[in-house]
Amino acid sequence: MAGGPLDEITVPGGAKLGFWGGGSIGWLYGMINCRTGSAGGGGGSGSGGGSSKSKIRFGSNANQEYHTFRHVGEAGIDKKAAEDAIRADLAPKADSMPEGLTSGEVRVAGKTLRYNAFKLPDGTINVGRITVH
Amino acid sequence: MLLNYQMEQSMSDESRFTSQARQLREEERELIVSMLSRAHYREPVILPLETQVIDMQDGGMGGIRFVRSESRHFGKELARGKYMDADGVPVSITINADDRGGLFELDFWKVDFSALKHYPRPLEIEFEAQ
Repeated sequence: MAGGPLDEITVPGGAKLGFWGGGSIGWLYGMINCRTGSAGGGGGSGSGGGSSKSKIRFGSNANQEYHTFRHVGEAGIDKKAAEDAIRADLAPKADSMPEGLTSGEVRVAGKTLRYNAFKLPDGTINVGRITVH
Repeated sequence: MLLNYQMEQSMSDESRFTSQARQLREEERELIVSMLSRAHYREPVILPLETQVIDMQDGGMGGIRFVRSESRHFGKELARGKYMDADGVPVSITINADDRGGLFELDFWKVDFSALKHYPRPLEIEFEAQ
């Protein structure tokens, strides 16, 4: 990676470690960077959202859904608004998405949410990581 | 920006995840050190096993959060990698810093949300440059 160290860390021993910071998130299987202006309706919890035939999931149970949205809640962002925005972002492209990993971005409450999704062979899209920037 | 890795031990983070604080396991320490070292740190990362963590309630995917006294939230991703679990399902791993630059989480996401079958060794991780 080009460029000099942007950040430093201090470990318990006192040594400072240089870190070349980077902002983007890369995925091997493809990247979709989309922005939506605000949270919008994208279907209810557990449904596919929009006109897509794909099912969009944020976990296999309530604990995992909480886990997926933990950064959203800790940043004071409404979980439902975030979920709706991600569903709305994914729905139009869900059917044409290739299988594998994808990432995307939405804007909610003035913050950028980056999400990682994985499309399974049966068309199910699992959203498993959401971070707030 | 300085990232302070010193671990303060309290229950404030623990209480959010309804699990007990415990010491970092050797396999976790090795994974974190390896991933951070590969993420363009210039010197070896030292992370003592006395470091206190809690298991995140992620359905057995292996995520942990580092225990600190103060309230904090996600700041930035420090390193990212992936590997294939024993059942052939991809697992994405990130190391996250909090909003103050401290070590925050080792996050695992097995893409079908199932529990880990095999905890990865550092050499199994395909590092993903950021």
